[in-house]
Amino acid sequence: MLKILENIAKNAVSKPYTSRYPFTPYEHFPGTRADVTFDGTKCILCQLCQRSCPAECITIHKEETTIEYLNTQCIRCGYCVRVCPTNAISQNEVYTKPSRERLTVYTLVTNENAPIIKKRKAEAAKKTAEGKPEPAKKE
Amino acid sequence: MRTTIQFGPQHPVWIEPIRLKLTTDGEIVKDASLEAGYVHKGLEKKFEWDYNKAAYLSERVCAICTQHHSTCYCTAVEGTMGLELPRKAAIIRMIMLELERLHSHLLAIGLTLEAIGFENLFMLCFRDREVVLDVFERTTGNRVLHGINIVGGVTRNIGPEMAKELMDFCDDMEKRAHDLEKMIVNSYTIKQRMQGVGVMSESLAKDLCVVGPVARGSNVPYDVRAIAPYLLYKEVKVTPVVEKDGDCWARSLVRVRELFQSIDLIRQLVPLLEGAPDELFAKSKALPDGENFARVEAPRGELFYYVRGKKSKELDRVKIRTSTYGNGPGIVPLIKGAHLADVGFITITFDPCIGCFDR
Amino acid sequence: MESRTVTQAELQGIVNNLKARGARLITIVGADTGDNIEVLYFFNTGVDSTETYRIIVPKAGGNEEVDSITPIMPASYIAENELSEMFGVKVKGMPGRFFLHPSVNAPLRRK
Repeated sequence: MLKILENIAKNAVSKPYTSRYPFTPYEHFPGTRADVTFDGTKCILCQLCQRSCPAECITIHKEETTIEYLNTQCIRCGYCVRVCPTNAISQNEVYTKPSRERLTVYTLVTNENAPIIKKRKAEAAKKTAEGKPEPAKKE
Repeated sequence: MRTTIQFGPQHPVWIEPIRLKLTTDGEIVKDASLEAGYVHKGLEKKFEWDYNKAAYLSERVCAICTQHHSTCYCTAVEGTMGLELPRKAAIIRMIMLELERLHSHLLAIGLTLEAIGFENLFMLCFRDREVVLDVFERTTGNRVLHGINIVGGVTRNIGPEMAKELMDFCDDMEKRAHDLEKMIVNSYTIKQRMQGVGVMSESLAKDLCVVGPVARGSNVPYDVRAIAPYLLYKEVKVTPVVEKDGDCWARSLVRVRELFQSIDLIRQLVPLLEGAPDELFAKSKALPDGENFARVEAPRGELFYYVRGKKSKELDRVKIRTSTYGNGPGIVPLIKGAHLADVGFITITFDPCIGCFDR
Repeated sequence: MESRTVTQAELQGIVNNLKARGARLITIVGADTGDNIEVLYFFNTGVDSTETYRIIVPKAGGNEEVDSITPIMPASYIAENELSEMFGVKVKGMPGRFFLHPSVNAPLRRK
């Protein structure tokens, strides 16, 4: 009986234990694994992340040099972050809000060292170098 | 006059679907039969997959004993590849396993109290469980489904500041656990409701080979941490917590006493982190070849994985035998002869996890 | 992992012996190896000691038979039901169905 009275007195004076969730946002601890973002200036289009994803939600298109990432299918496990050789993938601490459609994110790759982009630039430079002496010869 | 009552797949006292067909005569149950398979997903066929990706699949068999499934699978596959686990990875895995036992037993005690109608104490148990889930988020990055176990070791480290926070957490948790124990063990109404209901005798427990707190509540001292020690349990010894009566009160008391045993084990393990060299996983070029099995003590009982590889990245056969799978046939002899109002309550003291039962 | 390969007649004598010594059953596992189906029995016999026994059943197009050990050890009821349901190996005296719908036949068996 005494324990109940002590509990009643303590609860009447202190503030509630729960927080008012939608109005005060929830603060995650540092180091939480949430959404995945890709950095287009570091990727070299090696397809290691596509081969190691357990949920199969990353697709790399080599001709258009884009990365397609299905946000709703990702399980936030962090395997791709460990495997990427140039540290182009990172995880932040903010979760995506619930929505009614499936979300897909496209990222354009602009890194100069990626093998495909290097090859295209070398071919374009060779074509402009070949194009110049020919009109001189004709004349 | 006999009537048939369906304790059907959907009932407010359970969380997961299982079907009991009861034949009653007035208020006493005369006959019962068990039917399951409502959440059967066919996971054993999907496990014939890349062995690195299957570590993430093995976590998702059960959400409450996640770390135990993932540790048992990784131990079995490391045995076929001949990998040796570094010492610091073994200590980190053991700390996570004991934290998992804390939060699972708090959930089981809370559900038992809700089944007899004491909702206020159920809410207090869950309030203490939130402190444990906060510790998980600070160390691994997620509250449930942690994802730090890979074949060969772990991926996250526990530094000196995190070790100090763990010791403060142990003191805080012990005070809360003492409060809970005083309210449950010294209570007159809870004892009168639970004593003498659903008695499992010692010979029946040995015949049906039950595991976990169900066996330890009936005077059978079977605990895998003492009988077949894995990881580093040879240095940190564990004695099984045993009660003699075999009724629902004995099984709940075993779970309350194991809370204190887990806090004591974490206090012994955290100082061992400083002396170990800073290596987190072992690399190798081998592929799984041959067969191996591993056993772990999950909060509900003994967990067993059998793995067979065929010298390629894909595995050949994986068999999982969970703890509720071993305890399930033990429900039927206990229900025969009980009152109808006690049927749901006896099932909850077994702590059933039907996701593990059906896979 | 060590195991002993025995015949079906020898296994009954071995299980009687183990029960008299106080051993307990862990589980029963079936595996498909192309030409045969192997059935493995795991027992826990004391502190830090386990024993494994293996039976080889050649495939015969759908209706192989194995003797049951449930009269000696009642704990094997559920494991033998699952073995007969997933692999099509009938166990004498068991109903043979626990999880699956009657229209599904032996999903873990390879053609």
